[in-house]
Amino acid sequence: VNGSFEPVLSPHVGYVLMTLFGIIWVGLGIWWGRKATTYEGYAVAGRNVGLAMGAATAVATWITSNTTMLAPQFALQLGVWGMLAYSTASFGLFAFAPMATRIRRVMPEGFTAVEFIRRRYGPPGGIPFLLISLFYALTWLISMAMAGGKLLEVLSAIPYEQGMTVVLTVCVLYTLFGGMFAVIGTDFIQSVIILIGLIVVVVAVLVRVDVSGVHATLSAERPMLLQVVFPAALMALFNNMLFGFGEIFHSNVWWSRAFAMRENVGSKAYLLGGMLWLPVPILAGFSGTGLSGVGDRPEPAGHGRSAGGGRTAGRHRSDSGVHHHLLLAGIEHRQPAGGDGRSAGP
Amino acid sequence: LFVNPATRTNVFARRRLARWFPPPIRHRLSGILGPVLAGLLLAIGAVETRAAEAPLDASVPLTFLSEDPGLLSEEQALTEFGPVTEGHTTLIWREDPEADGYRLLGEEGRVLYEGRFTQAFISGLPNGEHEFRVVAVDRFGQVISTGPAPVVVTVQHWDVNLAWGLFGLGAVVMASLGAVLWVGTARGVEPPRSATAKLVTEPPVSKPADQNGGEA
Repeated sequence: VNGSFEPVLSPHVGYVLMTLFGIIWVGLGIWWGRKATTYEGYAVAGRNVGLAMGAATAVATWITSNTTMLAPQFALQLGVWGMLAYSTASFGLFAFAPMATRIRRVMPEGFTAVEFIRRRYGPPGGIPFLLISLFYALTWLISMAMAGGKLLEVLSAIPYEQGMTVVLTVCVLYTLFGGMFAVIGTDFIQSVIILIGLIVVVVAVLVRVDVSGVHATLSAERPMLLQVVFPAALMALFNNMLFGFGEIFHSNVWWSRAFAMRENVGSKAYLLGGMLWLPVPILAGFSGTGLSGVGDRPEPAGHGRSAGGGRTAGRHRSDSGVHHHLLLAGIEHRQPAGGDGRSAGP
Repeated sequence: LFVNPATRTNVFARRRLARWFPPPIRHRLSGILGPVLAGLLLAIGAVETRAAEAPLDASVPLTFLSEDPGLLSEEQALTEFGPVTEGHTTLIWREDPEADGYRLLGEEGRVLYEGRFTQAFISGLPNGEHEFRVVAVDRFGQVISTGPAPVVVTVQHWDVNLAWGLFGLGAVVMASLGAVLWVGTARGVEPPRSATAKLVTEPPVSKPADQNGGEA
């Protein structure tokens, strides 16, 4: 029993889905890449991205593995404050909105954040900024691949190393072939999938869980999660907000998208993206606290369990909690060292 | 090379010691250090004696273990720890080869976790001491064995005044940042010409919408 569990999907189904998504994503990258006939087209999508695509790419870029997997952990650790604290990362998008238009106006031919810093402050500013940006981008990429590998392992028992390698390879390939066109196009599809998925999860939790029962359970077993005066959570609120500001302001992923958007689209796209992103950690966190209230409750002996240990309703319920804990444990154990276990991305 | 073979002492060290600490000071120091060292030795002995009085074999199934992976390799058993300042922790226990699952019991026998993992995440604990026990269950959910000892977790949340103080500091920082952005945007402040001269390498050129295939 030492950490073993039954995955939701069989490895066979997992491999099929992984291959299918990989082929589709790389295929889309090649397809969209045909539009990139110039360097400007490849690097900043011809500077012609409209509001819908702009807002979608902002949302998808900011919904990282941390948002869907660490936000529930924040809710479990810091309760209601944790969910709110996490959602304040959207304020970074709001704050970047006016800057996006300004960046586009000040550097109409710009491509990267490093370029701005180098021209504005010279090599003494540009070189350290380049090193920091490279380190951050590498950390971001690896943490996302790790999360993908972990998720595939949990869902379908695909070995972590295989899942991580495939995720990393597919991301690099579609970006390589399609440039910014592929990045923004796939971001749009991912936004739709993620938002629908989160709504489905929350509806499923609401349907299966008695909210008043969850409240009663939390009040009895984890009372601090519902407390207004929760010291650790109070201290986390602005810490998280500042973290979000810092990530967005410096990272080239936001600058390059600002350069890719049409003039005067940037501010609206980032504002809309922030508004769409704001409830996501709350929804993800709600699923975390909802499961914490019921996921690991025992079934009375003889109820919901078959003699052969088959998967009955009770077992499913218990397993959902196990999977949830595994996801959280995976994040906790695999995050690079940091004060609150966070890595790149909110 | 510098050790006196007769006395087995470092001659330079002895000379330095004699220069820095002449006899009167040395005697006074020895009068103070002697009792202090004796006290320390007694304290260490007491700790060792205390540990020896309550040996807990970390290899026994269902024994709570340190959550620190570094310490886990040393198989350190736990009966109490804290203070936990965030109100959450992960409890880990030794696997029971006979078990199909585990139950973690809190106060009043309340079941906080049931599953097949040998660890559980506990959060939202208020100030105070909290006792947890783990039991192993078979595939029917019947208890087949009980842990040798409970673990007592002491929770002492961060001081509320400190928390509010840092909350206020964070609010001031973020409000200041927001004000700078707001005022800058509202006034439409332009960067110095010297700066923009370096930034704007080419004048803005309006492009046809479909130059690169239109919308991304």
